[in-house]
Amino acid sequence: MSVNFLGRFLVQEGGISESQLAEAVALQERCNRRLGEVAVCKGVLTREQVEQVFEAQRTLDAPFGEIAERRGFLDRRELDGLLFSQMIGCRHLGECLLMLGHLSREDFSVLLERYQGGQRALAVNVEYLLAGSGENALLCLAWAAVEKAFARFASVRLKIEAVGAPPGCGEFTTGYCIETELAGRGAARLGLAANFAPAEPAAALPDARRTLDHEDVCRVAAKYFVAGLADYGLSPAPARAWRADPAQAERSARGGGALLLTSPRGRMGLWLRCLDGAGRPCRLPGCAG
Amino acid sequence: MASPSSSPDKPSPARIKGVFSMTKDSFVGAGATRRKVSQAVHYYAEEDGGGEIAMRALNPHFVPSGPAKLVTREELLSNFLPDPTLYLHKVLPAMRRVDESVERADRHRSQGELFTAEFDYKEALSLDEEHVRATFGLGLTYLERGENDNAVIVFHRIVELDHAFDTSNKHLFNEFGIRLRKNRMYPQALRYYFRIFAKVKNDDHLLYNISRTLFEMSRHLPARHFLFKAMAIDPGLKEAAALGRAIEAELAKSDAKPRGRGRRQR
Repeated sequence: MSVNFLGRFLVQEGGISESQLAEAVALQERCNRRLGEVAVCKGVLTREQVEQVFEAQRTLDAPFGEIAERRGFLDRRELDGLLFSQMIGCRHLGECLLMLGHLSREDFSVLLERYQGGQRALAVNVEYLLAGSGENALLCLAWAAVEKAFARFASVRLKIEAVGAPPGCGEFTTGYCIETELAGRGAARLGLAANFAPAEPAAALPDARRTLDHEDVCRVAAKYFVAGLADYGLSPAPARAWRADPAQAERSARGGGALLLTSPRGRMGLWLRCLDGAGRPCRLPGCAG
Repeated sequence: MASPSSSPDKPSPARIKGVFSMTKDSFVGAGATRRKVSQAVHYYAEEDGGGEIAMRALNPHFVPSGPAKLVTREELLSNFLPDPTLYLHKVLPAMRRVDESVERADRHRSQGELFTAEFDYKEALSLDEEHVRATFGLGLTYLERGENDNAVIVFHRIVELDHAFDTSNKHLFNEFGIRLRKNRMYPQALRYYFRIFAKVKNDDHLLYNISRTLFEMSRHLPARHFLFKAMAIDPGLKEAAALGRAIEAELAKSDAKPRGRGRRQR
């Protein structure tokens, strides 16, 4: 069993058909509202305030509620109430399948248990592999930045499928490079390549963040990555992010840490490389070798 | 609408149970556009054995929700009109749906079917966001699944619900507190217990649980303080003796440790 998403697993196991999965995913998208949507619906925030928080979140790696609270748009009690409302309105894919009658509770329980057992074992393996990677700390920062940016601004959930060995670039269709200088220590370079396109605007929900294209999402990831590096004590300069050929994206950062990521919509390769002051590949500063 | 008394000898007045409404007038607009509007406000009223009537407002799903306000029979009948149609066609089916969902969820949770339990608790809460039993149940489900982040969201909700700590929910709030501690969510467990302590000062089990949580946080002196309080209420409190011995052993160990410079040099 490889890293997988529940929906794909259920199809592979014959529990549901592709069309049933698509129907459940569509229902899930309609049910699961972002915190900003819940806040507007309950009259706690205005649309303008929500837009301001979204805008701030493009540079600041913090949850929506935390930013809204920091800006004085709502208080802690209101935030707690919104989080609770969001939680009880949230429907997992399995719940949507039950609501649509595509699976019985009994069948779903059996399949879910099997799925969770397999995924738990894989999660441990991935943690172990990351811990064993020489450049693990910065790779973890890069992964966290990419994961959050894609979840917040492209509604794409990513998981680590493999550590250290993304396949060749043949399967990827788009690429991006991110580079930041580290004061007196060279630079960190990140290459990203994906084989899936951003969600079509027609399929997107009325939420400003969901319409960002991958290039913009990568710019957000670059800002989050820089913030992570600063927390790590590496004094990075503002990052540059640009679109590139997938092979170029790989070449620019090949030879350091690498991850193969997967999402329900497709796969993504992530490469991280550090360069010394002369632009030569080097071991990442401050990392265990 | 009203349920008859079951006494075979002398019929007592039927207990009130149903929906009552009142019309509230208010003004909207200003200046030339200012006008009076009338709005019907609906409450679910239920009389207890002591003759008091608990009234709860209906939420948009026609479910009585939130804390109850107590009124007398006279107050109710002089200020409100019964609305049996609304009760029979909207409120009763909605209440049944909530109750059935919570009962199903409790059953699933007790059988360890935590996914379906979550599904049913959320179903009930989507109709009544202030349903205490469903809120506790959902929190316990997340705690049992080890999903502490979700449990924290429910925890914040529970400490804000005043009626969560009514004695009728005692077994639930005890279970929730213990589960918080077992999941090592000590700051939440303590805040939770002190929220109850603010309402109930003389519950020996509560004081014992505070002591136990403090002990697991290695705060041995305050743990001893709260254990003494618990034992002052019930000197025969089960488990208190064992906890007392454990606390004293830890305090003796810390007394034996070198202090000052020697300790810093280690």
